[in-house]
Order: sequence, then C-alpha cells, then structure tokens
Amino acid sequence: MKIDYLFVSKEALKYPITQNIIKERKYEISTLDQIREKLNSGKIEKSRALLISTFPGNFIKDCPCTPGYVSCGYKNINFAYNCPLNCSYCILQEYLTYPILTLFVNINKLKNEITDYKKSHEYIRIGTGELTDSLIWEKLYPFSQWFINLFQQFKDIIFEFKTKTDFIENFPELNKNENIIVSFSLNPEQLKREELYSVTPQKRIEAMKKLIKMGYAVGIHFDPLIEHENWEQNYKTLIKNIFDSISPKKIAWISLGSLRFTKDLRWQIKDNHPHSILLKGELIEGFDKKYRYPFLLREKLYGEIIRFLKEYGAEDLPIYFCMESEEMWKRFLKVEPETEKINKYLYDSAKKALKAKI
Amino acid sequence: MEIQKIPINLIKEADTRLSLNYNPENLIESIKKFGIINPVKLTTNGKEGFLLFSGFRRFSIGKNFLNDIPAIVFEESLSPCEMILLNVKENLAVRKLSLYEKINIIRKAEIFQCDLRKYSFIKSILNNEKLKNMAKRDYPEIINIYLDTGELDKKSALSLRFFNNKELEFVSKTFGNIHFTRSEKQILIDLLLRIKEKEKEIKIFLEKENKKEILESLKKEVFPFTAKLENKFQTLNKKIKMGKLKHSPFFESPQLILEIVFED
Repeated sequence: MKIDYLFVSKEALKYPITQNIIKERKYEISTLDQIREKLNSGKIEKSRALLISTFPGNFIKDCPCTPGYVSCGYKNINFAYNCPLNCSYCILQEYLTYPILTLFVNINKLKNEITDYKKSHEYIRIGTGELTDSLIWEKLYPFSQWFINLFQQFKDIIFEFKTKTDFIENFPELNKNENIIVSFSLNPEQLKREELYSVTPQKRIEAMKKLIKMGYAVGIHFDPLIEHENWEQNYKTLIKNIFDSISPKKIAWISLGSLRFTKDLRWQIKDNHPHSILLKGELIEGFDKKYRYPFLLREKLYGEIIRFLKEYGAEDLPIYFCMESEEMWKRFLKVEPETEKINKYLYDSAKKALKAKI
Repeated sequence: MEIQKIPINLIKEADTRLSLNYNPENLIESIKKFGIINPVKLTTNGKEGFLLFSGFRRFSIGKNFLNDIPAIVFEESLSPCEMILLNVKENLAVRKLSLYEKINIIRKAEIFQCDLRKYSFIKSILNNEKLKNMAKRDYPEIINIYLDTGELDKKSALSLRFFNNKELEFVSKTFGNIHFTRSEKQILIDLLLRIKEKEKEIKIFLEKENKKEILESLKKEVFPFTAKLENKFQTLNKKIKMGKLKHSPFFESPQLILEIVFED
C-alpha cells in the first residue's frame, strides 16, 4: 500500500495509533469535505490517499446480506473503509461516503461496545473484512495483534480476519486459541487479473498452512465464484491445491457465493476494469435487483464446487452460502436456511476446527 | 418589465447557454404555428445591440422565419453568473431542468467561477457527485441529445458512451425506423451493451426486420443458457397446452404466474 497523501482529522490526532502511523510521515490535518474538494480538483489521487479519522457511531454492525436471500447472521466491525487491492467485482468501487482509504483509530472503545453487545447476543461470529481487507493495514500498524489481544478477552466470540493478502508477519503464535480464525478469499489463478493487487492464490494457501502451524483455524471464501472458460478444471485444481497443503479439520467454515453485483457497479466495472471478464457472463436480475447468474447455472457451479470439496477435502466440511436463495440451500446443504440455525452451525464448526489437533 | 419586439439581427447569444444547441421538432412546429408566446430574455450590457441569456431555443428557431422576436430586456449590466442564475430560474418556473442542463450548470459555474451555492436549487446540483463526474466527460452529440430531450432514461443514455460512432449511428437509425417504447429502448440498449461486452458485433442484430425479431435474437445471444431452457419449456408447454404462462426467465422471481384458460 503506497500512501502519498496522508490526512488526519483533528479528533484522530490524539490517539496512539495515529501518533504511531504519522511519525516520520508527512501529514495534513484535514476534514472529509476538504479532501473531497482536493479529489474533485484532481490535486490528489484517490488510490494513494489515506484519511485517519474517528468513527462517531457503533463499530459493530449486522452483516447486511441482501434482500430476498438467506442471511448467515454474521456481524462486522468496520474499523476501516476501502481497499487498494482493486478487485474488479468489489462493491467498494461505488462506495462514496468515504471516498479514500479511511482508518478509524478510536477502536479503544470497542471493548466496552463488545461487552454491551454480548449482553443481548449469543454465538457471535464477527470479523473486520467487509468494507476493507482485514490485513492490508498490517504494514502501517499491527492491527492483527491488536484485535487478537482484544478478542482473547472474549473467548466465546468467534473473531475472523478476512483477506486476499499474505500479510501474516504480525500474527503471534498461539498456544491456546479458542476463537481466532483467519480466512482467505480464493479464486483460481486464471482469474488473477480480476484481483489485480492481491497475492497469488498459492501464496494465500501457503499463508493458511503457516497460520495453522501457528495455532489458528482458517476459513475459506470461494466468493465470488466466477463462471469462465474451463471453470470446472480451474476450481478443481485450486481445491486440490488447498487440500494438498492444509487439513480439512482446521477449516472453520467455507462459504460459496456466486458473482453478483449492483446495477451501478456494472458501470464502475466497465470504466475501471475494461478487460474484466465479469460482464461476459450470463447475468440476470435477482430478487434484490442485483445481477447474478440464473438459478440453474448457479446450481451447476455450486454442485461442482461442492463435489470437488468433498472429493479432495472431506464429506462433512462446514459449507454455507453467501447471499443465496432458500431453494439453493435446500438443494445442497444439511443446515436449514434459517439465520439462527446457520449462525449456530457455523459457530460450532469454528469451535470444532479451533479445538482440532493435527 | 414590458415585452418589446426586438429585431433578430440586433441579438447575439451570450456564452452562458445551458441547453443543447438542438431544436426538437415539436418546438419548431409550435413556433411555426403559434409564434413565440413566452418572450426571450435579453440584456443590453451597456453596449450596442442585445445579449440573449434565456430562450436560446426559441431564438434559434425563430430567427429562421421571424424578423423580430418578443423579449424582456434587462437594462442593467448582468454578469455571466447572474445570466446563468436568471436563465435557470426562468426555466424552473415552467419545467424541470434536463440532465444536460444540470451538467452544464456545473461546467458553466466553473468556467465563469460563479459561486451559486447560496441558491438551494443550484446547490443540490453542484454537490451531486454523479453529476460532477458527468460534467467532466465529453459525450458524443447523440448522447447529449438523449440527455437533453429525456427520450431515454439517464442510465441508458449514458451507457451509449460505450458504443463507437458507427454503432451509435446503427442504434439511432433503428430507433428512427422502428417504434420502440421508452422501456423497450432501455431493454434494447442493455442487450446491445451485453453483446458488446461479449465482444460481438451489434449490427447483425439491428438488421432484423422487426422489434420482436431484434429483441428475441439478442436475448438468445445474451442469455444462451436461459434461452435454451426457455425453448425447452415452451416446447413442452405447447404439447400439454397449458395456456398462457406469464413469466420471464430473464429475471429471478419468487413467483411463477400460471394462467390456465378453460375453453367453454
């Protein structure tokens, strides 16, 4: 992550994380409106600018899922917005509230927020990878250590980092790990140009292998699944490679989600990624008005991927769908498509993977 | 202020025009038939002759067959920013601004360095991120016409920017030859765009004889998997004579509406 323009809000200046990041770096005290004006006048480049700020509201949010499809009951901690990995399918391309990379440093209030949240929620599965990649910030500050320290105080909450990088150098070895998992989004290497600045799938698999040795359980997200030439063979090879390197016992969960995106994102893809293959696919309009593959095509995709997972991994892998219809759940998965049941199933599967010895 | 008759040859256009320099047929017909009912707005700006700052279309149509034009003349000197403001106010009194005009407000405000944010109706335009992005682009003439006339919805009009000039010509020719409703145009442009995304020529589809053939052939190409299933389904449907089936395989829907017709 190359930062040429570092902006700090007045409120963020006093926080130790800010002080740590700005030392030996040039920065400017700035408001969001001032940054917007600079962006509009072309004085700064969006992808190379970072704002360090404070977040006024609660950090913990329900994962929004999408109307008309089944939710898995996941929760998010949005401690940062945006991502420099520049994936063609990424929804953050049309995210305008914070137009540049933004980091919220008042995360010290999270401890109290979690304590309160726990009073009214159980079987919490939570992570930091919705509006950013969880690990892209590691070169600026060891947030992984910070979150691990925090969540080791809440062992009944499953905490997940989600990434397409291999930035695991700040992760401590854990002798006893009851709740920290690190997940990797994966697609075949043939789709690498859709994930421009992510590390190769093989590097992500190697990072998974290392983390398991260091005491972590891992998650895998095949999301978005993209139909492309030779997709069966390419996903088969990817899945085989994964299970050649890691034990299925240490997998907390595996999500499958086929390509979907909003109508507005289509224009961003055309403008920002003119060579992307995403728009070549057969995309219809879903219940939620987003583009997605037709049901029977998605069924074909999932059917094959699940077959490969069972063939190379194990029969009883904790698989679930992201933003998929009830009908699809019923066709492939044992767990009933009800949010509470799914959440409990995945919570238990993560606990089982964390306990598993290899 | 009273309405005066001003000779056409004494009027020059100010460079604050917001609307596109394009005259719709219906306005031409109306002016030919009824003349100019709503007077244009002029300023003397202390010089000889008059400067037109509102009513550009009426003026450009009228000058083809009128010697003088009804006008309200502002005797005081107006800055370009004031002319833009008065033009917007006058138009807003009778109609909504077109997308093209909104984009042009942003452009002109920048050119003439106008601070128009104190006027709430203009502020919302100047602060609109999407409009600001559009203002930075140069669109082909035909897109500007669609943005100005509203003949196409905004998204369809803007998506035409992904077509080259030749393709734009095919599209507008098709719209000229075959009657498509506004929503059919929207569907057609979307399908054509998907054909382009598949790196295929759009021309062969637009050469079909009628609307139905054009749309059917495009759907087959864009949704091959779905079209194959649909064909299979319709063949089966014919055999069992189930009657009309209201559905579209091109949208995911939680419902399928079956309409079974009982004869006698």
